[in-house]
Amino acid sequence: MAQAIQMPKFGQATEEGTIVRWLKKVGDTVAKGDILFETETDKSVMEVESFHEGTLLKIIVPDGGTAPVNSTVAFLGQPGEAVPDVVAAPAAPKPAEAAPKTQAAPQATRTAAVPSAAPQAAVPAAPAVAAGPAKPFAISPRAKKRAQTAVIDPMRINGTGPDGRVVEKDVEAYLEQHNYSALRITPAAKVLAARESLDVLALDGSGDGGKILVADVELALAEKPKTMSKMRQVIAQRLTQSFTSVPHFFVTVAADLTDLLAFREQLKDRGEKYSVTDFVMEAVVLSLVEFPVVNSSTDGKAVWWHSRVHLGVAVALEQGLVVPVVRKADLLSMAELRDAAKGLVGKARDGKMAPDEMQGSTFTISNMGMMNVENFTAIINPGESAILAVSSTFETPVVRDGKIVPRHIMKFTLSSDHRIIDGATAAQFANSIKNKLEDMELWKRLT
Amino acid sequence: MPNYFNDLRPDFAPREIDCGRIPAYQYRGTLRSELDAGTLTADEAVSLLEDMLIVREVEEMLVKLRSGAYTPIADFNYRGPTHVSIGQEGSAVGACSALHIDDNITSTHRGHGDSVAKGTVSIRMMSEEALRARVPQCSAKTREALLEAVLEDHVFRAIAELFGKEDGYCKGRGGGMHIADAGVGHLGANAIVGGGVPISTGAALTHRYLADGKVVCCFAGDGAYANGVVLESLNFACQAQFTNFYAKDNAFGLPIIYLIINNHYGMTGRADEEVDGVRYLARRAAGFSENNMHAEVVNGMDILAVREAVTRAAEICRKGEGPALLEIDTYRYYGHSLSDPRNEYRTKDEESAWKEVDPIETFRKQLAECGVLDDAGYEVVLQRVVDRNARAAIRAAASPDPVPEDVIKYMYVETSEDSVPEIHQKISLLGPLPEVKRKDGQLNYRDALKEALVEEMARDNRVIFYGEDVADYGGAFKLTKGLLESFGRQRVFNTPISEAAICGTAVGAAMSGLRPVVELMYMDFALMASDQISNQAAKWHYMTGAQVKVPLVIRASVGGGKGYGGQHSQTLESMFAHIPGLYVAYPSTPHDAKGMLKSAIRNDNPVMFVESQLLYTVMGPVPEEEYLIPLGQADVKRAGGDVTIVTWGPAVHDALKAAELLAAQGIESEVIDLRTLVPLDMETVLRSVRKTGRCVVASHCIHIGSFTAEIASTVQAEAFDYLDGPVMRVGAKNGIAPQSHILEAAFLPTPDDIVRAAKSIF
Repeated sequence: MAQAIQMPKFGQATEEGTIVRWLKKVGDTVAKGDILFETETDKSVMEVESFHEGTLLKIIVPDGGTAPVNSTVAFLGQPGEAVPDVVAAPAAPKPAEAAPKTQAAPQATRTAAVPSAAPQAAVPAAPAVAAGPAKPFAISPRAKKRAQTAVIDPMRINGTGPDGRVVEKDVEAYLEQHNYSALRITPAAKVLAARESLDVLALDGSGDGGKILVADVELALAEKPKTMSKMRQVIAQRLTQSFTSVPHFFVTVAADLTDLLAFREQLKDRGEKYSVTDFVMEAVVLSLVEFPVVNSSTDGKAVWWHSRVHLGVAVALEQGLVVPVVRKADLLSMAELRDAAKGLVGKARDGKMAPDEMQGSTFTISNMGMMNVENFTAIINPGESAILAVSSTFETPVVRDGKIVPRHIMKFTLSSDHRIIDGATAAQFANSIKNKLEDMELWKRLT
Repeated sequence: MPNYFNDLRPDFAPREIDCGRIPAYQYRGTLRSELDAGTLTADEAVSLLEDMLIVREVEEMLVKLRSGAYTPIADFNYRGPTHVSIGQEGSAVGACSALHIDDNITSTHRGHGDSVAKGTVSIRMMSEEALRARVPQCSAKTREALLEAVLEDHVFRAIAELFGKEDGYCKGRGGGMHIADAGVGHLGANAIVGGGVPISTGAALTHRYLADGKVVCCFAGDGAYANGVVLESLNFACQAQFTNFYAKDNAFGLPIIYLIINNHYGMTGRADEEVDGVRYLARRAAGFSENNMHAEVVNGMDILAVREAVTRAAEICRKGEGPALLEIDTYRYYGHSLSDPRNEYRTKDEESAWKEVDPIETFRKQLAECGVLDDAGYEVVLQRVVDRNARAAIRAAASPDPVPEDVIKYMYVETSEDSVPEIHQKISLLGPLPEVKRKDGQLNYRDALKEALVEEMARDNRVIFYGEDVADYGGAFKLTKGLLESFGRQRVFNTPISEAAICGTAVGAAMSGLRPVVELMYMDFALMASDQISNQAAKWHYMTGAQVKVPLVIRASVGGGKGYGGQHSQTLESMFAHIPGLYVAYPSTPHDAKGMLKSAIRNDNPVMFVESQLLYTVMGPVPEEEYLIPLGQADVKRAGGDVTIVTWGPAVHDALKAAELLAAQGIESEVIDLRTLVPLDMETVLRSVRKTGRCVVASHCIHIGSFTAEIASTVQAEAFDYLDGPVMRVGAKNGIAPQSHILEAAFLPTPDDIVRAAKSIF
């Protein structure tokens, strides 16, 4: 009996996973513990190990495919063994795909399906078409075939058949209306456009007499909307929710790190390495213990003060943003905090973080210190009441005792949820961080 | 004129009906007396013993195989049935030894013995040339060696068939329950109880018609003699018209011996005092003929008694005084099959008592007593049988299985009778051929069919025609009026109202050399004959591994639309299209009707030829010169580019009217008349659908399970990308044809229904 390989359920809330790539091919021998494939959940890329040994008989969900957790993605067994006739379980529709199907008005479908010069504009079109019961786009097989042959997008065609079905004559009328017979395209360009499901009527030709060339198709291809990664979609959804539903306000404070940087060099000479971020984290954790309202959550009606500090540290990756969480940071020594954060950030950069290591933060630090940033603001992570945006440290002329002196100044901006944090609290909290960063006695004690 | 006018007067004078006397167990002979009388030689007697041993060894092998106890092939997994006839060898060998090589037999699901015995006794009678033809590779020099090789080959082919092997008599298609060997006149064992009885009756009809001197011996059990088609067959066979003044110079009783193999159990039902009302089934004969069909009851445990009785019965038949009926009283030692423990319905003492009179043991004793074969001689014979069987079984087990790709090979035969052998071109006419009247080159559908029938009967004397009321009366719809007057009662005759016997005898006649056309007055009555049409006519070519053909036409007339109600109005071609092995034709015009019927008669497959009473009066052009319309060729009745309407039968006319109505609305229809559902010309349909992109399938069949669904399904599978809308189906309501004309109008599909269906996809 062939062994079904399932899409694992990594986190409590994970509902589906996308297979980034298979590391085994059909026919490969698989030992227990071998990595079968990498999967991208809404949080990270995970390696999936085999619990069984045998030969990979069949891959049901290929590279790039998405499957619900616990659905079968492949079969393992003995060579030649029969494999049950399983098709890939349907994943939840992706917004970009689902959108055209829910369109009632042909006008609206146009926006979603057609390659657009401004892909950013295409995405928000989806929620705009909620009205009316969802009716599937209907097209007869013959009309569909005709549209495929013509390499056009049938979704743009008005159907006049029964129940609005697009039938052959609708395609013909559409082609005539768009003067299709006058369209000039090289055979290679047409083949490429067909393979990539582009609409030749939407292409601009740069050849003689407006003839569409392969280069034109490639240009359009680059502009074709691409489905965002699962991670990007989650980021989009969560940040939109936060920024549109949480009233943010911003308090910026500048800290003088001149002394701290010198102290840091001393530590380094002693063989103890700390980054500026490590000091900022420690200053934040200490301040949060003093200001429990900043370490809290609200739903607009109640407020939850969290007794422990679970510190989120935003990490920028190529694919997007992840926030590993240092749990119970308030109980850690500074060295422990440094090591814990370093370990998590490394794992995040390698895409090896478990979903549970990215959940449950009570406050987040977003650090762009290494990115030459004067000042910036961050969007509060849903479920938290504030976030600290840490900018770069610059040598700056500062007036000290009536004289202009060069000092190393770092600005940071606290974004606060005004529903529970007032300006004064925010200012006090921000200054608490500043004061700690500038207090060398404190750091001597802690290091 | 061959017509006969009855002149029956009332006669109620008091009297008694004398049913006569049926002799039972009258044989007084012994081996000694047979040898003395010269009716049997010592060698023949030893052969009888050996043949019984051959039969028993084959069946005991099956029994042992089931428990791995047959040592030559202990590991062979035998997967077939185990209806062994051990105990009945005296009947099988005794009866077959009284027949000629080319006499026919039919047998039953318990037919290993009959099948093996018909082979062994025939082989022993064969000329050296015939023997060599059976084993062309054999280099045997002496007749004795050659005979041995042929016997072993026979046992091998029989066992190979039981094992489902390509080398079996039926190429593994039939198996033990359907084994046939055309080479020795064996028309097939039959797994439908009683199913073979009308077939053997039909074979007897052939021998009567061809006057070829052959006799048919029909083996069937006590169980079969409670079955309707068996009683219909006895009545059919005993019709007075075959032997009295109706037959004129051709008076000749059907040459058939009905052997009731009464082993006292129909599966487990007890013939005695349980499921039958008579002690002796031979009594049945008194119900069918004034001479009691020469019935006798014979001791089936005594091979000599059986041989003597069947010899006399065969002589009776060859003289034209048949049919004959013999009840062979015998016993089945095992149960219905090996899964039947027997202890639920009979005693061990009963079994022991019958084993005391075992046909092999009692005959062996006589052989010893007469000094023909002593114990040592017997051991030699037995060892020869056992060794031969082992060699054959080992070969059979190792012989190739049929290849899976050939699973439906032999379902149909590709041939038709394109030229008639000279001997069958001789037609004796009693009068001029019946004429049909053309009006401006046109005939109605009924006359077109009649003209086809007349032409084919005039072309080939093997074409005979029978059915209810078809002769003097000319058929319920007067379609065959005049055929009797031209061709005579030998070729055109009335039958009893026995649809199963009509169709079943036609199967037997077709399998044995004639090309019968039979008529079912209403298609509804085909259900009375459904076993004979569906299990027999359709399947014999395949089940015999293409040894026999069944060139048969069953004309069935649909009465729908005339207010005849639920049992005279059904359009049932979809049912028969679901039976593999049958062709199903349904013409819509006089032109097609004639050309298709002629093709059907010439075709070597059984054809269900459906006609519509609604169309009998429809006129249409029918050329006077000969033409044929091939079966399996659809016809475009109207060309158009917007929608394809696929249809057949009377619905073609509805579709043509619908096409007119659609044309008025600017929609051009292409109307395709399938003409035959089997074979199905899907290519013409697909070509049209690829052009039009739309398809409506219409027939008069009720909607559910209609063949229209088959077409629709194939269209969507084969031409999906060409469809501009779903394939629509139009049929009668899912109901029973009503009497009320208001209801019947609502029941049947109309041109408007077709228009609606077509417009719904524009």
